Amino acid sequence: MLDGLHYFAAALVAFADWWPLFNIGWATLLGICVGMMPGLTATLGVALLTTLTFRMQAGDAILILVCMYVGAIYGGSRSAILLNIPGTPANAASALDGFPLARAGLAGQAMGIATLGSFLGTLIGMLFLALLAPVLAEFALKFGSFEFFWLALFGIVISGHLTALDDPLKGWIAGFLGLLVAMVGQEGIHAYQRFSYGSIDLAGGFGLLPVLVGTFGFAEVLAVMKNPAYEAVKEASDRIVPRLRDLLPYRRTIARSGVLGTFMGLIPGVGEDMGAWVSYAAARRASREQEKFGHGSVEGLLSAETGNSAAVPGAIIPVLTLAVPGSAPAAVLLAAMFIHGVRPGPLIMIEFPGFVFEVVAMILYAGLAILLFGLLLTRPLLRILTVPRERLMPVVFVLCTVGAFAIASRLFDVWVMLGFGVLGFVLREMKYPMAPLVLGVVLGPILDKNLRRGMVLSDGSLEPFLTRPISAVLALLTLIVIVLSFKSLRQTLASLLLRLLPGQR
Amino acid sequence: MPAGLLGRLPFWLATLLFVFVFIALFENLFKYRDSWPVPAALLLRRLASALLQAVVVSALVTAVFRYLFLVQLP
Repeated sequence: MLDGLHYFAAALVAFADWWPLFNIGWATLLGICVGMMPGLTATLGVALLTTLTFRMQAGDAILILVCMYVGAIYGGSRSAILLNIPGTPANAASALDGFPLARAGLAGQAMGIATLGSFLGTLIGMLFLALLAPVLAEFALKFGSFEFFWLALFGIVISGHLTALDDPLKGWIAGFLGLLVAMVGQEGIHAYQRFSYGSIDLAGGFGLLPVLVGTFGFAEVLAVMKNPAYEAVKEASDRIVPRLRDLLPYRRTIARSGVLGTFMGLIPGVGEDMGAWVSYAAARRASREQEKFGHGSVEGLLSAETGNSAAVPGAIIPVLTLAVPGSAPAAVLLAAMFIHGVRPGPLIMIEFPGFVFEVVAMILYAGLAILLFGLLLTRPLLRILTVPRERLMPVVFVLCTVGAFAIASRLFDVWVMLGFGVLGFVLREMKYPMAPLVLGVVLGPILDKNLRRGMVLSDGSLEPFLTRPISAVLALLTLIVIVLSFKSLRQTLASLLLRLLPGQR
Repeated sequence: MPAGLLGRLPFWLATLLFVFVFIALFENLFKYRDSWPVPAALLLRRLASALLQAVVVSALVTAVFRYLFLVQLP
């Protein structure tokens, strides 16, 4: 614990220098701008910045990416409040109460509350990151190939279940499509070529970043140009900085949303969207002003923004300790860490003990930056929303193209980006969620390698996958998620339970 | 740029052409579709502004990636 505090203090001092502060400032501001623009998501922002920072020092690059991530998730609240269009999918719940507040002439107050909620959510998530990451990393040392296989499968199944709101099957299809994409190219144990059909490019596999830039960048360009243009509320003449006495009645909501958001972030591939929705639903259930929800409730907006911002540090916890991303932007962050030679995973507290606390300090500085920019630059930031999409989208497309190319200087990556952009657009139009697809691409090699390594260790037997204690728990959880996803099975189980426990009606 | 995307063109020229054509097409054929026919002076001003943005984007992106990030652009 004391070691942790020592590392944290050292990181705080190290980042208090001019160069890191400059990087924190511009990256967070850029993140807010990216988040604000409908169509530009946190994943796209982090993916594009990864391509722009891959020649920087590891510490600087990861600091910039963390600031972009925190800034973009917060920035999305602006367009949710002013346009009724969430800037990132994580801010959809914020639009429910933020936009009615703006329409009632309280746009300034709504933005102030969203800013403070995001800041407090970031702080709560950061606290859990500092406390949980070392414990989880130590626990993860007990994980072998069998457990990592189940963890990867559980991640795909739960992410598919929670992110596809209408039909979990669509989420699983997206997840398994991601796994299939990850199987292309040389496999990780014997470098045997799969699905390459003699092509040298395919033998190298699909790069994670070109795939992400395509599905989140090019697909968004197509979607934004397809949808009708938007009109923004361009005025915020009321008070912006929230008063303490206005927020004190909601202290329980803030604490609850922070904790729920962090834990939703922690679940592989679920992330900020569900952090916001679950916090919003819990706040509504516990609220004394339930009738105001959806009609301009301060509590509703506060819970959604606290929840999604707390999910950011929450999603980074499994990235650092298990090398399994908690959300789509965290997946890009994980890839960036590998590019920069940091190897997250169970050994992180042994190999890079200070790194976890450096990330904690990065999140604290990013949180302070959103508080500062959010409250001071409210009116200048409104101008961002007036940039016409016809002027912005070609620039985004050029950055997607050159960003996909820059990582490995392979033209094949540009084609991959274009192909996955079209695929992502078509899938999104058919209401398939993108998060499980990304998680599938990231977890594919982990799942594949650990399944085969486990089989080698057990001499071809599947028994240890089901009999080792942690494996058995993860297998059971995966099965429960699948069973609970089917309405008919859920109803059968419920009636069976009622018959077994007749008194529990 | 490779054959197939925009023919065999240097990156800066392909970027310039793409940004200019994108803005000119989407602004004039879709955004301001209802206000046709527009006076020639207004159309020229819109096209000139699109060209200016295309030149700035092309120069900035090419310079940043080639000289700052040392990427060998096609």
